[in-house]
Amino acid sequence: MTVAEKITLWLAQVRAAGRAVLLMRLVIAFAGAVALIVPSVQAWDQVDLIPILGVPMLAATVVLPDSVLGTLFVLVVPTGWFMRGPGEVSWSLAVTAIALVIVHLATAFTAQLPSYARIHRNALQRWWLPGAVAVVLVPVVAVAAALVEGAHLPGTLLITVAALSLVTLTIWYAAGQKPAS
Amino acid sequence: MRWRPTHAQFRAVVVAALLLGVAVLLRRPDAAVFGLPFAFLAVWGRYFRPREAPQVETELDADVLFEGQATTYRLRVAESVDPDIDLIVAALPRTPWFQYDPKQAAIAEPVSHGVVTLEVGVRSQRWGRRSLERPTVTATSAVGAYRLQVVSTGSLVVTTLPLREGFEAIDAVPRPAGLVGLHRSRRPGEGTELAGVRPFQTGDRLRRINWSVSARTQELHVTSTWSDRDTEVVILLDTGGEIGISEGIDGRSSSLDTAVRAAAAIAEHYLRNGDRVRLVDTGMLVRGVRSGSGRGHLRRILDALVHADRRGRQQDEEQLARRNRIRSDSLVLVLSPLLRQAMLGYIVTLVHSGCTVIAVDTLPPDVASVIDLEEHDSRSWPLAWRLRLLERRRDLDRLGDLGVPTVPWSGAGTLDEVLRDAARVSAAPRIRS
Repeated sequence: MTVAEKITLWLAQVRAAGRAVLLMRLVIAFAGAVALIVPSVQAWDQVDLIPILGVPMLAATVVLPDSVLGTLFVLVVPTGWFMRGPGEVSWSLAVTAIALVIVHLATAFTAQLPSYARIHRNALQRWWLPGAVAVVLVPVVAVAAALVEGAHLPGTLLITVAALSLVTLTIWYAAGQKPAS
Repeated sequence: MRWRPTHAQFRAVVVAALLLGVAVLLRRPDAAVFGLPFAFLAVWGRYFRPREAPQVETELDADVLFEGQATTYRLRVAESVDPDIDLIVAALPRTPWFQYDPKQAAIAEPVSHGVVTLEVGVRSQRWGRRSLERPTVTATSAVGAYRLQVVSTGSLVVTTLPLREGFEAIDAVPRPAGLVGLHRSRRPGEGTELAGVRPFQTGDRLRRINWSVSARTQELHVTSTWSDRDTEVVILLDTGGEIGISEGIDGRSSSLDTAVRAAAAIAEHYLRNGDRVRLVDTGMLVRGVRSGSGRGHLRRILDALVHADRRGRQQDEEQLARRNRIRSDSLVLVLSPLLRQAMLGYIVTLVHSGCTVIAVDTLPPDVASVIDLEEHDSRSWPLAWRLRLLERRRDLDRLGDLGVPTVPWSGAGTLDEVLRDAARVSAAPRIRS
């Protein structure tokens, strides 16, 4: 299939896109925009490269939700925080993190459907619980992190060990995971 | 065939691993805020990973349709489906000449109560035998973490019969032959059509005596009837080319479309009236159907007509005459665009053999305006067609001189006038040389 044919096919699919799929792609675009804008309006000076990389990756994620571009976008935004951010927990951080979770969930939902599919109204039934928990987890973790930091606990060994264990488990689990084409 | 993690699961795992690593190693609590929700989603997706592959069955409500009719394509996932499967997504590859509801033939249904039935409306737009390709069925797990391509059963074949428009013609056939049909004969005899009441003659059956008239007149009278006759109608289908654009039942018709639909309608009409109908194909494209009568024979003819969409070798005039011997008292209805010399020559042969031939012109009226700009010159193409149509006009005039009327197909009543004329001509006294 030539490039021109691919573009023609893609345009035809966009024209035939269902309302639910369009809505989910709008959600990706909106949440992604929030994730890009919130760090850029912070007091600290964000690296200019982040929006330059982030905007095309977001656009590509909206167009191709079932691709690795979504992963890159979700990694680019926190990278901006780590490079110039103060390393403190704030509400703007929580808003950005929630936006990224929403980008991830909306992308995951859109990726499993053809753009032109007719979707049953209960299709999101099993998504509300894990989605809500993941979103709520952001402020919970933020508040917990702020409390731990504010308490100036003398020995954070336990927390460090627990975090390291979690990371080890995650990395072990990640090994051998190959995404489906 | 096994459940594979999706890009979403890959993303959740990678993002969680990297961000939590950064959080621990660089002592950045903000990285933990970013990373932990992703870790939760990765674990949730993994924990609710389905183990079994769903069994998918496909079926059609009806696999034989008439043009314009619709049926339901049903994709059923068995009751024993894994409860951890979230969505079943089915996309039916679209086949030409089918209209789908929903338009793109793709549906996503949640597995809520263990049974999933996905229904796609399929409307056939053109006669023929076509297969509906195997649907692409995908099962996904919670939060889109895992995916499985489900292998469904084979493709399903839909046969679309060309019978659509009702056809009626006057109850006149030029030369009735047998004694079983429903056409009224020109001769008195055994039948149901009342001819009159006449005095008894030797040889009359006793059950024909009209007692009331006999009692009134004091002389034996019998009720006479016209004999019921049938005829052999030969439908000669010219499949030597498809001229014009075929857009299905809702759009423009090509010459082959018109010919096939007309053949079906004519066969249905004459078989309904008890005649014997035979189908002859000029191109071996449709296997010819021998003469026969009844509803079963109509089905045989329709089944043969649905194969007319494949290219076949065309027979020349001599081969046609040799292979298709037609009785001299038959009514031959030629369905043709009347462009091929072989066809015109065969019509002349039939006329000379004594058949009553009526040519039904299937050439689309807008044929000159159908231009493929990639292949044809927009200036010379209409001119070339104009010249060709003038030549054709001359040929049709010659056929008219031989007593072959030409009528364009226009559905019910197309043949009324020419049948009346043909019946009148055949009833006239003949001078044998």
